[in-house]
Amino acid sequence: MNIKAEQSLGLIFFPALDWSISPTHPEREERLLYTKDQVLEEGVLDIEGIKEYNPEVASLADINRTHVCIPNAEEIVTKPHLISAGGAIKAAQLVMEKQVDSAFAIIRPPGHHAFRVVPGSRGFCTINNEAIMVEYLRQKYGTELKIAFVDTDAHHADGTQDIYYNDPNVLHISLHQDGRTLFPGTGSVEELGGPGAFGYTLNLPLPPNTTDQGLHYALDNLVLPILDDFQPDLVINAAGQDNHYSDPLTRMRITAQGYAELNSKLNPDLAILQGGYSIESALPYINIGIILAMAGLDHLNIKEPDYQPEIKKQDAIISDKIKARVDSLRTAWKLKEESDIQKEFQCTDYYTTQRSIFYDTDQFRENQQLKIKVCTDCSGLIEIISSIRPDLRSIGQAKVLIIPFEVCSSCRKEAYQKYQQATEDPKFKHVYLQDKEEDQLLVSN
Amino acid sequence: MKLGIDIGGTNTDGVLIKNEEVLASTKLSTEADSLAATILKVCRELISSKKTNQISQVNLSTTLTTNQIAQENFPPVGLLIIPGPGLNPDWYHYSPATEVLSGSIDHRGREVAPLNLNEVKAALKKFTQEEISRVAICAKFSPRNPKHEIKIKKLIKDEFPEFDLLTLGHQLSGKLNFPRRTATTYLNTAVLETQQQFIAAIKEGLADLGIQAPVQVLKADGGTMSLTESLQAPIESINSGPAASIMGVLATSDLKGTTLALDIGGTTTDISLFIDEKPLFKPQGVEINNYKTLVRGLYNESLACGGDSLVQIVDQQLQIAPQRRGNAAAYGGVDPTPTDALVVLGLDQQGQLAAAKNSLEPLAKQLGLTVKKVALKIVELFCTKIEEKVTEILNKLNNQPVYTINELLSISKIKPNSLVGIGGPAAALIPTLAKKLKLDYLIPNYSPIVNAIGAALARSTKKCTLYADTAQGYYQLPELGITEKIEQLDLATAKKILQESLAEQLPNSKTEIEITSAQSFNMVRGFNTIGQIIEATAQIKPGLTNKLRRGHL
Repeated sequence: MNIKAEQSLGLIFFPALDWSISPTHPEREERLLYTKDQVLEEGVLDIEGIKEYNPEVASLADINRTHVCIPNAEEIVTKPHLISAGGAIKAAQLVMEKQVDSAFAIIRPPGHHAFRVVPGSRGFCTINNEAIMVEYLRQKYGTELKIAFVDTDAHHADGTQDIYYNDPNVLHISLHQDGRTLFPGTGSVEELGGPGAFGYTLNLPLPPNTTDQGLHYALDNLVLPILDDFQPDLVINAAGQDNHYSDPLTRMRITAQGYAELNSKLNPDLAILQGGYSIESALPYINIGIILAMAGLDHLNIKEPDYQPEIKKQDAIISDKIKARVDSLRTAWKLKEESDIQKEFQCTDYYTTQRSIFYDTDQFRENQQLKIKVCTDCSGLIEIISSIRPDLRSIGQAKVLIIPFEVCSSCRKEAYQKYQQATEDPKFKHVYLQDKEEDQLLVSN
Repeated sequence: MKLGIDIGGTNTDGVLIKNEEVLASTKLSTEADSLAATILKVCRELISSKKTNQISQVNLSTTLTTNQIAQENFPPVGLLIIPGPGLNPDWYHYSPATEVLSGSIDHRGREVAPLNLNEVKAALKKFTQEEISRVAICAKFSPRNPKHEIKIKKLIKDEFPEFDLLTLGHQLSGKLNFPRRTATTYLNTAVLETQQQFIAAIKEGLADLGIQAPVQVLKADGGTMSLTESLQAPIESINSGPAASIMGVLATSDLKGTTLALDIGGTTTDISLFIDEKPLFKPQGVEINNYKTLVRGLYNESLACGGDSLVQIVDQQLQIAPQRRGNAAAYGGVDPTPTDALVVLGLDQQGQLAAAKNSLEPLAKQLGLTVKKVALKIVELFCTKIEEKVTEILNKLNNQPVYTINELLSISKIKPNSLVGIGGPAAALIPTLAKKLKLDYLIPNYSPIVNAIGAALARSTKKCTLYADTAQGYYQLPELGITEKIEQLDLATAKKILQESLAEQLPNSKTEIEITSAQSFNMVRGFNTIGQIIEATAQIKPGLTNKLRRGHL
């Protein structure tokens, strides 16, 4: 029988069956083995309108456009990372070139815990596949593109949030298990974006044991209305699959049906796989569900082997908490243009903050001093001073300057002056200037 | 001596080959309603003066199954599917009599939900009421665990003996793809009876002729199968025509490097590829009459454009194909064709020049060109059409999905360096085309009967899958019906088991068994390795018993 997709779907299915972070790590060869079997056995690749593509291999220029790797990309990034990021880029190309209506990149390792500054690996991520994809798109198809991320991984998308925290053209919505109960700990409703993009970061922490009911409440009452208001050119679902009731690392209770229905409603242009480590009981079913939903096909017969309808029932306390948070976020969204930025950030010229980022894979802590210029003409120059403890590789202190898209001339001038000064300052072993407009990374060691 | 017969839609060709030489060949028109009679007639002609006891082998390439499927000329088949959860099962009602049964097996071959025997019985009774006596049975993940399919077979044997023809999905292919396996199982069941009748007629006819040699049937993969096998899996014989042609090219040409092969016929041009004398397989199974199957086949793509295709002017532009109105004018037809252009240009010196010129005249007038210029343009357009199709094919083949980093980084792109052409217009057209494609070219000597040669010299092929799950303590080879308990297994041992099991299937074959894929995965639960999953496939690949000596007929 010849089944035809309602919407054409590009599938970058690259399980990297010969790669692991380490033999018993959740990111190991086996992770997508059962998903591969399910995808092949269900015959979804024979459905007319669903087309499979190989990933591209991203270039170091693609990495340096998005990240500042310390000491450099060559020492941090390996081929599997470039292929995973290249998978996301390929997906975006297919959509932008209108070869398909939407695309789903089932790639690994994931990316959403990778920050702008990358001194190592954390949360199974090294580089941010979806951010690398978006920066590629903006460079190639126009900086004015409005992008919306909806990150549905159980862990807060702290890396993607960091990269777009001060970027008003990128709306970043993250739905995740409450950070007080799970890595990385961040992602509270109070984190709403930097002075140049206040209100364009939205975090909905979901209490442990949230079910399909809570997820869809958030989708219907928060995500979809806000997307409707923001009118993005592209909607990206960072499709983590560790909210599933069988996931070993988290405490959420989403079903494969819940995921499929989410993609049906959200109808993202791009979906990019993130985490999800219930490799036998969840991933094969969730991925088939997402594929069918994105192709606009019937997905109601997708069920996990141990599925029981009771799994969808949700505690009233959980529902109330979600509702209260959704309400507060909707208010924040509505009032974002009216806020007094200087008052909100308690500063006049520069918003400064300190933070400490834990790199669990590499077992060190990065200390960052972050400084964002409060500018009325652009989103503002960003300065970061970074150092790690313990510094076993003797990387030393680094200074990073970021010139954003649509920068004003005074921020641009200031950035180049500060870069020059920093290169002469012996305190800094490495100095970087990432110029988004010129698409270049200046490095001084 | 080997007898090879290729039955085509129009003609049936036969050859008698001794060692490296063709002793006799013949061409007869195919009698569509009695292929067996046609075959026997060819046999009779070929052996007229020979001693039948010297014939050691008879190989047949027939369109019997292909035609039956193309015409959807099926007897009623009851299709039992056990889809479990997943895609909508309504999508796989290939037969008007399809029953969906409960029961489910997961990706590791574990039973998730049992079969309901009462439900099976009810479905079979329903089939009986509808006077259906053939059943196709296919379960999702049956290559991982064929338990449900086998249980139904046993039930039929014990309680429903009236169903005398049945096919189990897992026996046809070890590959995962439930919709394709279901289609393949259904089609196989639908053509079983016709195959039985055909084989019976052939056996009887050959016995009458005094031919006692073993008979083999050509498959889509360019290899042969025994009559016994063809009675179980007749579906394997679909597309054997193109396969015969590909094997024929192999038998009659010295191929080096990567070769593009064209079989230019009257209506179509068939395109195939060889790498180092090995024909390429289709990445997925054969597709026939809109059915996607799991039948392994040689790579072959058809372009609706041949020597006798109609040439006309549409919107001030020359257009070749897709229509065909009989022969080329130079060969007794009326309308202009690419063959007529070749005759006008003197590239084909057999056809009638005057008739060819006459047919191109109106086109020349309309375009305001000389007849010769029009002929040149037609040949050029023909070559462009082939070139575009070849580019499209290479693009597709060079972007086949891979699933490992090693494969992704080491993909070697297929880039042909030579061209071989067979079929009527090949000799006239190939040199021009080769120049356009910048390839060396070759036109084999025996091209009019190349398919029959390919059939005669093809040898047996076999393929097989091994799947081991040591955490569950077993390995199995679904196509061979082998399941064994095992505590531990490493990749090297798995390969050996696969090779030995396959070797047992063809005890007389000296052909090397090739491992086509093999991969082992540690299964980690918590922080402990609890076992291995091993997936491996092997084949006795298509090839020839021997080649022909060049330049002899």
